[in-house]
Amino acid sequence: MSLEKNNQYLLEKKRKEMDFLHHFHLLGYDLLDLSLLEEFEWDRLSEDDLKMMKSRHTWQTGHSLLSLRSDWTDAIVRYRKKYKLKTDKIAYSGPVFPMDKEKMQFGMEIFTEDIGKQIDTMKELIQYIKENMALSLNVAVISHYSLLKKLLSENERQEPEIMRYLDERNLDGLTERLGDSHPVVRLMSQPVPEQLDYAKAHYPDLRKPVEEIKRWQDQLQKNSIPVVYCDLFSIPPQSYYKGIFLQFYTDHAVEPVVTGGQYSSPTRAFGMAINLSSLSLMKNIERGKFL
Amino acid sequence: MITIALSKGRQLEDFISFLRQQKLSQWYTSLESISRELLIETEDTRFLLVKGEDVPVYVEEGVADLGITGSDVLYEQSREINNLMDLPFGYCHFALAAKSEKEAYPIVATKYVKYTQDYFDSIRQPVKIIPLKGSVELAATIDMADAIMDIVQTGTTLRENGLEEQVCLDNINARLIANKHAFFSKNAEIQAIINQLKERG
Repeated sequence: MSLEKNNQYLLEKKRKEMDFLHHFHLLGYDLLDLSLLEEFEWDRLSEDDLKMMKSRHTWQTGHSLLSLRSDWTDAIVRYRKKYKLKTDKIAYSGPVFPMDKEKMQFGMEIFTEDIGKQIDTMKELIQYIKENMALSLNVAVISHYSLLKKLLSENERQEPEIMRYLDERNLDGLTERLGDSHPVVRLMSQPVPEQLDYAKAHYPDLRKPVEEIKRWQDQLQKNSIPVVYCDLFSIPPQSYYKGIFLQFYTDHAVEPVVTGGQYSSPTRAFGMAINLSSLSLMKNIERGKFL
Repeated sequence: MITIALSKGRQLEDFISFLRQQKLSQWYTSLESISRELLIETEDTRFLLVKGEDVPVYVEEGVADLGITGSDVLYEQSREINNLMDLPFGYCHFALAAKSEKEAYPIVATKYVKYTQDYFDSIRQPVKIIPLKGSVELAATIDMADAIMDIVQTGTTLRENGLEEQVCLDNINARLIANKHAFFSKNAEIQAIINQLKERG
């Protein structure tokens, strides 16, 4: 890349970050910044912390375990557990370093269990992306993390092989392990577009999460997301994700560009983030999309 | 248009035989006519012919929507893909092979490092693994290792190198895999392919 292109890239990166923070500040969000360096104590690591260690850059100094921030929501969840956050809505921006990657995340969180307000937050982000970024969100995937608890027993959820088969949509493997009359096997045997209705019709326990999925699905369709599909077998990355989880994709992208969902830690909340890899920003600069 | 990554070599021949058996002429006629091409297009399907170990990479990266590769390759790589179904070809099995039976095999040469480590962990025996890329039999023949862990179909290669199968382990066969995103965004096309592969099978 030429020096001038590099100058443009740097300026664009900083301008986008400022634009995002200004925009959401004007919409009533408080701005939050947290240290890139996160500190853990060996004897206070939670199960979630331990699970995340494999995907973090970590090193030890004295008695402390240090790590680079790998996910903003995770950082905010731990911040909220430790300190009282005197605000209902926050916006943030900054880099995250999941293993072998660097990403820029722009995001927001709303601390409420009011689903209407959570949906409004989602709409504000979708609108911002449409109006201010050269990204078209073409596909959305909705999951509901309470479904697995209803579909599988605790023992089944603790079996790594069953969870791996579920994650891989390995119907042969699941049938062998769970039998062909198991709800997971019967649901997964249905064509994907029919799974949601099948769940509602055959498993009364699933009615509430299914209805919640439908409510969010309607909102996404009203907000002009061309393709919306439901993934009933998603496995939550962290135990505090308990409800709706959303992923948005642009054309030809393998990784979601926007992710977010409902979580509970310690009180109900909803957050979404735009994940911009340096590469995608750079590509847009090269195409002149931001200029 | 669906893109499918296929393993070159013996597994491709097995796949073509399977397609013939299934009477899927729109696919096998194109695949049979190839000589050294790595990209073949039919009316609605594009085939990428790649090394077996690379099939999951093309699928995970979303360059291919579907892929066909052995369950041995999938075990070794732990990729973020959907591992959809068994296919009735590419049958073989993992085996521990050595010149003669021994009480323990403390040094093992293999291409399958993860599988070997998991196997020795499961029988609670320590092992030193020598990772190799190919011609693994040689390592046991010249006593660089006490045994090799490899996949075995007929056992001919082992015998020709003075080795015998000592422990017969997990069965292997071809699997249909899908990109996680394409599995949903191209679900109707993928489901149609699954149905075609299952029908009459």
